[in-house]
Amino acid sequence: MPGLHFEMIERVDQGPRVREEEFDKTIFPRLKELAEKYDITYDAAHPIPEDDDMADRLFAAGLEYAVEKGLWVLDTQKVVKFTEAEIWRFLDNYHTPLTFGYGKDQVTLQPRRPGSDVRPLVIGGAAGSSMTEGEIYVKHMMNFALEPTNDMIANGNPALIEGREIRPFSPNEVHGAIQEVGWIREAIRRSGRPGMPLFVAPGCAASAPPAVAIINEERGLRKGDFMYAALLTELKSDYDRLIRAVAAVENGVHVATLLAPMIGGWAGGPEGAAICGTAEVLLGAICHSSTIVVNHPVHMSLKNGATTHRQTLWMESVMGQAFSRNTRFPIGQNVFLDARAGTYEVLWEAAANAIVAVSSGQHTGPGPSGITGGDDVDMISGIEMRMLGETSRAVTGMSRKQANELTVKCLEKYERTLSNPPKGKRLQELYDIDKLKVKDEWLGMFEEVKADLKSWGVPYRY
Amino acid sequence: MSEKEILQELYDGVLKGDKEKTVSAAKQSLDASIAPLEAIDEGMSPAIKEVGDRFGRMEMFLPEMVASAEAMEAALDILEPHFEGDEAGKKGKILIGTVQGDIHDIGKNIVIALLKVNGYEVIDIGRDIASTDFVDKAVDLGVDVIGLSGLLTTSLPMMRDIIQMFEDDGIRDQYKVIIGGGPTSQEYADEIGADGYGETAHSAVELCGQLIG
Repeated sequence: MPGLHFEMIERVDQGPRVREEEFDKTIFPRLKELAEKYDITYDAAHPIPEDDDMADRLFAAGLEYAVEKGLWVLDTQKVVKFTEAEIWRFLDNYHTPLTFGYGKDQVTLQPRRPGSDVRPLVIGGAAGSSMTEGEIYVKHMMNFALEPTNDMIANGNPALIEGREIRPFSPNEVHGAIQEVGWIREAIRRSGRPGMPLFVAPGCAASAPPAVAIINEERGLRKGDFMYAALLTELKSDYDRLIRAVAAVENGVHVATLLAPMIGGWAGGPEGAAICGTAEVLLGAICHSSTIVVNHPVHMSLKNGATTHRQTLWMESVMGQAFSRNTRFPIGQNVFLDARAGTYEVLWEAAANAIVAVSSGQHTGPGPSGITGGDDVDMISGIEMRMLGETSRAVTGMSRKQANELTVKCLEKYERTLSNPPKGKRLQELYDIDKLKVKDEWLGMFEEVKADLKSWGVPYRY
Repeated sequence: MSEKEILQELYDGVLKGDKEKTVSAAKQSLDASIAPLEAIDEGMSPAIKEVGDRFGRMEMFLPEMVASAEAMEAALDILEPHFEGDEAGKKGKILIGTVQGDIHDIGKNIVIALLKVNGYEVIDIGRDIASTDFVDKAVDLGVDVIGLSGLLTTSLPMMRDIIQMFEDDGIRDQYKVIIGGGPTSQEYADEIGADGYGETAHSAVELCGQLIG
């Protein structure tokens, strides 16, 4: 996308120094003022609000704040700012539809709106979830690629590489990232979907060098694939992240900007975090010349980054509505689940996230993930992906009113266990791993939840 | 202003994160010959407990808690020279940072604010910090506890490295090392020989209390 590439490169080291503490401290009071000025109000009974006017006001508030506040750069302690005219120059020249991948595996990104019957992209994978390296990693990726609802494949995080821990800035980190993308390519080939586009945030790439090293037409990220470049919470970036974006963009790789506005953090409650997140979408997209922004609101009360708290669902919905009603710029909803594979709760969480994303004008995923580490390895499976994908397809075109009713019902099924979710099981316990066949018990739990959703009005066709 | 009113001012100042008001009340407490320990126990401590509770219920947010911690710290600076002996010194000295290769620091900042409002002296050495710096600073500053934070899975080996460095230098038994952040767990803490794991910011504070107390 034609972002403001040169302007960003120039502005990261221009202007007066702003100390981080000074930058942080003004965020909360200003967002409180803006929430009042634009009348942005969280409503627990409506995780999917039907208020078009509030969605538009949220967009206006975020735009005002983006122009006023800018993006703070850690390395230089400068603030990169863009005018409102520059922001509109970017948004108005965003071109869709866009096609990714090749052959029968090509997919098309089209602008959506709340309640739209335009098919959303479903991006399936588990970036952030720890997985056993090698053949098991390939099996995880195949599990996601074999789901027909999955349009683009996202990665997982190998726990070890060649049996060794992965240290940032180490040779093994670069080696690991190259291996990881190679395994994903192998997985989509073995799944009969070699043209599937990649949507990757290498789990082995805590630093920029391995991210840059995976841009490679033969085995790595190819032209038309996606690579993440994140923002730092709140409203910050650094050379490391901006380098990834520049390397991707100049090599024809799409950038997916990841942002994680936090409820309870510097931005305050859900209203402030939504305004802050809206500003971050604009600033991140322009700085990275992004093709899509992946929104991952974080809730202070949930340790492992789940996006399924009632307040984060509201935030996802209002931000999705704000952008899809006011721009053609797409938002993907990162799906991080609190519970783990093998539990009913994880399925309800996946369903809720899909319903919110699709009915609010967004795209689903990447997901399903969950931050895991240490001994907590391989706690994810293709069945959560199936719930995410099939529900996304089924609710496409659904009204926000109906979607809200369904979401509230899903919340009733898992909300009480948030922050203390049931432990779950490993992929190897839930599947015949050699044949990659899900075992009856786990499949039965999936069918049970799906039957309930169907009885509530989710129009699954299969 | 009566003693009761001064103590109320201290309480209100900390609760609202109003540094000016809290410092002014601290000075007035000295002028009124209120024992510094009483000013803390009867004025500020109940306020910081309330701040912690409200933060836990998400009725207060991070910037408000940081402001409360700063107000209390500023007041303590006024009161400290007037302590008799060590009647009300800090509870302990804690060095905390995000390990090398990890730039995510919100979790660390929350823990710092909560530790401060609970009366600990906290040295924040920042984010993306070299493993050797944790060891060198701990020795230089004579801290009691070292807190290692990280969000990325690649942060885990750095935590192991730091603990091993303390071992290699023969000083492991002089320090308590605790870990926290997304990919960490009690199992991982046990595996690398950490002294504790804080699943939440509140549990990190409780852990410090257990380890230092």
